[in-house]
Amino acid sequence: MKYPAIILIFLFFAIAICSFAYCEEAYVQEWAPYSGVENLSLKDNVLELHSTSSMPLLTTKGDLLINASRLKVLEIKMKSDKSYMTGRMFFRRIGDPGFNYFNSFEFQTGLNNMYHSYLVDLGRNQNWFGTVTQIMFSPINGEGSVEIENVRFLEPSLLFSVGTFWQEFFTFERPAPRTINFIYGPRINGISVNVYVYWLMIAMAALIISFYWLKHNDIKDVIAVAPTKLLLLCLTFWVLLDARTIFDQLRTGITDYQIFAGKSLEEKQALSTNASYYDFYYYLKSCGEKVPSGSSYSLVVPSGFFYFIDKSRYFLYPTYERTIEAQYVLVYDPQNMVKAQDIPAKDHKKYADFGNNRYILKRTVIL
Amino acid sequence: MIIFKLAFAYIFPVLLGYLLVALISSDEGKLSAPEKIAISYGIGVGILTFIMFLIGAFRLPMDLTTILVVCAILFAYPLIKVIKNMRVPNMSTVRIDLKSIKWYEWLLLALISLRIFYSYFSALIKPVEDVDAFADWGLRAKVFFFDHGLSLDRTRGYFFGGSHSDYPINIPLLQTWIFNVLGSWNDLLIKAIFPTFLLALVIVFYCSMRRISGRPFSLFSTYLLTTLPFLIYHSASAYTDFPLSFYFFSSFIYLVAFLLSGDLSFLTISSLFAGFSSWTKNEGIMFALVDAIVLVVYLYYLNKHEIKSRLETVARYIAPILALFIPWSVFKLIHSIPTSSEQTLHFSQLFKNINRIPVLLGDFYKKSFFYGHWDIAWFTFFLVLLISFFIKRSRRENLFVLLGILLCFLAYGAVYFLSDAYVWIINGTNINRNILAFMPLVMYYICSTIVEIFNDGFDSKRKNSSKP
Repeated sequence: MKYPAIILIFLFFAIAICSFAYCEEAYVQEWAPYSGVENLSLKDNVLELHSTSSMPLLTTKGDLLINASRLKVLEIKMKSDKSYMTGRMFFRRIGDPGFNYFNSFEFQTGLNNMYHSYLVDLGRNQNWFGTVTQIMFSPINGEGSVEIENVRFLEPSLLFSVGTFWQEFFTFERPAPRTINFIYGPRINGISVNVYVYWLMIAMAALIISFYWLKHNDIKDVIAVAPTKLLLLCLTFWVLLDARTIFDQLRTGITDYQIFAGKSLEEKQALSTNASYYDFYYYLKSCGEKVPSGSSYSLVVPSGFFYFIDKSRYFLYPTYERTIEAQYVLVYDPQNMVKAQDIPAKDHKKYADFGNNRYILKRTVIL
Repeated sequence: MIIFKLAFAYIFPVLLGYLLVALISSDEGKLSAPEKIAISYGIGVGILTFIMFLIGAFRLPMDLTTILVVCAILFAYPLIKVIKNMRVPNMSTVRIDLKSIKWYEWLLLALISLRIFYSYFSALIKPVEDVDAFADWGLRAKVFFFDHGLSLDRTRGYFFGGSHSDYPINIPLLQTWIFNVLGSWNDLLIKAIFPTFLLALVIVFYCSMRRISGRPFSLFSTYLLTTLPFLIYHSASAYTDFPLSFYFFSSFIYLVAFLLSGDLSFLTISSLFAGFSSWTKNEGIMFALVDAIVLVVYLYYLNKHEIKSRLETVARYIAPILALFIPWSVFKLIHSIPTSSEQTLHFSQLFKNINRIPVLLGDFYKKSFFYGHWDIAWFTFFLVLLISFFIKRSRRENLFVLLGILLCFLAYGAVYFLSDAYVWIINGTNINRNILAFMPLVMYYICSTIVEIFNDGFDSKRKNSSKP
């Protein structure tokens, strides 16, 4: 009896070790800058670079020939001086004309200035099959320094499943404009964690009720005992979910601190206004200094930029936004997207120019 | 200097509220000191902004001096009366024996404090940035501040603040008050308004739980309330949904306190909060109606007093609500401020809109159960409901809370069913913010029913253990 038990334990550990081990892997070692990358260098087998855009891109040199049918795990070990950014990996298979968003994976980075290993389940993308010949990699989605220790493709294993489960559960849901209406919450395999909790609760309820039914054989006793157990279980899950919420709030706090701490009110207002149009707040500030208080203005921005109009109303008061017959016309078009007919020419002259298609027109004819 | 100004800006409404609360509830033992202060914040804010509204409506300059003078005149009598009745507080009721607090209670207290700290940090690290917060509420506050009034001149731009003119102005005027005290426009420092509502909510929730359960479970319940991600997010943004949530919860919970004790001071506090709900957001009047219906149901079925006395109770409840609601409605009438088209009910479409029902139910089901706004709170709510049904024992006041929740559902359902606000369900912007308004009440139901279930469970165990 003793020996079979030892053999069974040995077999269990052997299987566990085998299932945790990675079998086949492919490293990506040679990278070339594609765009938005400066100072790319290799030091002690660590790739260092500085990003100058919202999507710095590196591409692999030569054909990789990755067996996508077998290697379904991507492991990236890297660090950045920016916390909680979003990285993206594009892939191109034999015969693909180029890179596109459908053939890409997203991952989230962790706290800054620390090495983290990120595991990405490539099998989730239905286009991940065949032979992959080239990779394009954007480690972060903004300006900052990055160090990449390794990028490798692996076969899936139990360790990987646990790793991705963990990473997915703790994926940082960064507050966004939509958060005021909507919070996604944690997801695993694309399904809300709540669903797993509900199924676990149903299974546990069945077990608890069966157990007490077998023990007491009296429905009244089951009703007396089982609900309290179920509720305790439910509250336990609730507290566990809260652990993740606390972690998310901590990360939000860190991100906010890194962005806003030590800044003046004006800098904070600029940072919370601009998003990708960094100078819009400062443009409004200049307009506020030029346009006399109490006068009216209309704002000309590319179509669909309603948010900018609301911001201008908010920041420029006591000047008034008026869509028709305004005394001043504020033009903000750094990317040259406004149609010429949308900018009034007749009865207007240039009042102030801030360069780069940002200027103020003044109505010459008083109505 | 700015610290002192800011402290004054936030303490002054609490003092106003405290004077009123002290007048309403003169008995020392009824409300604990923290609870009184929490209530005072909500009531004080409402009273202060309503005074500002009246100043503005009569076209007086809405500056700091005028506001302080009017407040001094109006609050001279309550102040004298409170000073007259002031007694040296019995410190034994205030002092807490720290040694009696168990480690897990410290832990829960730490977790609750962490959430409140996070809310303050998150609010005060950055200025107003959520869209409606600046495009609507924030803009109106700024316009009122720069114009020293309610901007009622239609010939100039931005009539009545420049945004949705039919929205009540409790929160914009509170921001204006802070700008007035600071002497400048600062959209960062006004954000402490919202975490302070969280602090007040946490205290009121804890105290309401404490009336029916022990300290450990009251702390645990309060901790559960602070775990709701959507509630915490809103407590740091500058939307008015969270203050509405505080006002409605407080109105209902003091109504429940009245049902439990029959103490009329709770009824007055509840009606003030109900009135301020309608002064915070348009749907607040709907919540005041929910409160009133629950009161009427209670008086009709359970109150043993004479009909005249019951009618007096209803009148006593409705009077403060109307005192706040009527001037606001008359003001809108005088200045021809129409109700927005989305909020107008179209009863003629009663049968035409029948296909909206599955959409509304489906949206609630999805948003409540499968996203991160409320974690598993709604699942727990239905579990608790199911268990209490099986146990067939529920506290009377819990049935009223359940009725309140049901009425909230029906009221929102009716609005979306009969109005063009339905579009906000389709585009997914509103339902969670609507749920936020009565979510603390749902949490109260969950926690108070758990107290009930556990008591019942333990009683049964005791019965079982006495079996041979």
